[in-house]
Amino acid sequence: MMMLIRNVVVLIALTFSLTARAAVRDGSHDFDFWFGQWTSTHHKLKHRLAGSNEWEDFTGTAIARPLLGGRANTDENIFHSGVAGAGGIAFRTYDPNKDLWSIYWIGTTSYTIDPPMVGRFVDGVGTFYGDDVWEGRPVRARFIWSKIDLTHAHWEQAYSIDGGKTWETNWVMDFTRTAF
Amino acid sequence: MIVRLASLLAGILMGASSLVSHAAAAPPAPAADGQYDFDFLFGEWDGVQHRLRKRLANSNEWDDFPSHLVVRPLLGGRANTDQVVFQNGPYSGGATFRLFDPEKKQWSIYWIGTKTYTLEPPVVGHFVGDRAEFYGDDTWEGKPVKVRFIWNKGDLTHCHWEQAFSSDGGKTWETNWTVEWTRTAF
Repeated sequence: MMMLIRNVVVLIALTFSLTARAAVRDGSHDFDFWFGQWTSTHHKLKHRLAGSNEWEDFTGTAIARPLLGGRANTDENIFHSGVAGAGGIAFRTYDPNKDLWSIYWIGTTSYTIDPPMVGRFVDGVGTFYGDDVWEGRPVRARFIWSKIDLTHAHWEQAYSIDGGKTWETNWVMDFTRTAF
Repeated sequence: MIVRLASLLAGILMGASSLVSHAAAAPPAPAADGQYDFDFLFGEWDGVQHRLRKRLANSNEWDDFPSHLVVRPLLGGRANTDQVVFQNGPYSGGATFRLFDPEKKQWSIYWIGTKTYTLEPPVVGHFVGDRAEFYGDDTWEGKPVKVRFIWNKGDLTHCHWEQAFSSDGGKTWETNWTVEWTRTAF
């Protein structure tokens, strides 16, 4: 009887430890899809958080490369938006202890590095949140990466001024691969 | 005629003097833009890492091990990344992200180590000639420290990096890491 109880306890302990280990998944390859070269179509809201529905469309290119075997990566974006030198750099790092990606964006308008967007992929959709400021107002920002296959990827950005209850999507990019 | 000539001359002189005073009032122009100051590093390098075993402990025991560095420009060089692999046992190393601020003419250097994979606070500075110093704040074993990087450009195929910590706000420095880099590829 004692033996049986001990075995049950060991079994329960083992189950918990396995569950705990499985809880931190390995998401370090979740941006591998992005490595390579892409063309992009941009659909960008002209006036954010202003009840506007005027959009501008333009094209662009992106080149993404892994660092340290993929646990960090960078990309370079060029926007053909009519503004000379428009674009930016993304720098991403993966924290294996928290299964979280941090995404830093450096635009060519300011060349400053802002606090990161943080999140992870679940079932092929990556959702990342961060705090930002738009025209002096604090906003919650959200990136979504979705609709990913070998030669396509979709990205969008939304802002919220009510702490994440409602969102206004203000920028959509669709990427088509041109090279690996 | 003479009066007109004199007034013209006076006008020219006044114009010249206003130009001079205007130039004097403007902030001193930086010697160079600075955004190309890390171009020398683009490429691949082998490095001998010379690393103090115990920091801020009056130690003089060092570890030496080889390493390999790959550096690439981003957006024409105003930012760049590198990845370094330390060849001293299990996989270790890190990545660096460098960003040039065209307003302040300063570089910010961010390090991501393979222990934590997080972006640490930057060290900030600029080159004067072939030498650059970068400063930042960090913590070491729970204590706040000042951090200093020094880059020496050397020549086309050699350069030098070192790191020092200060626990007295920058009065005295202990160098705890140096690397001599030799280029293996452009």
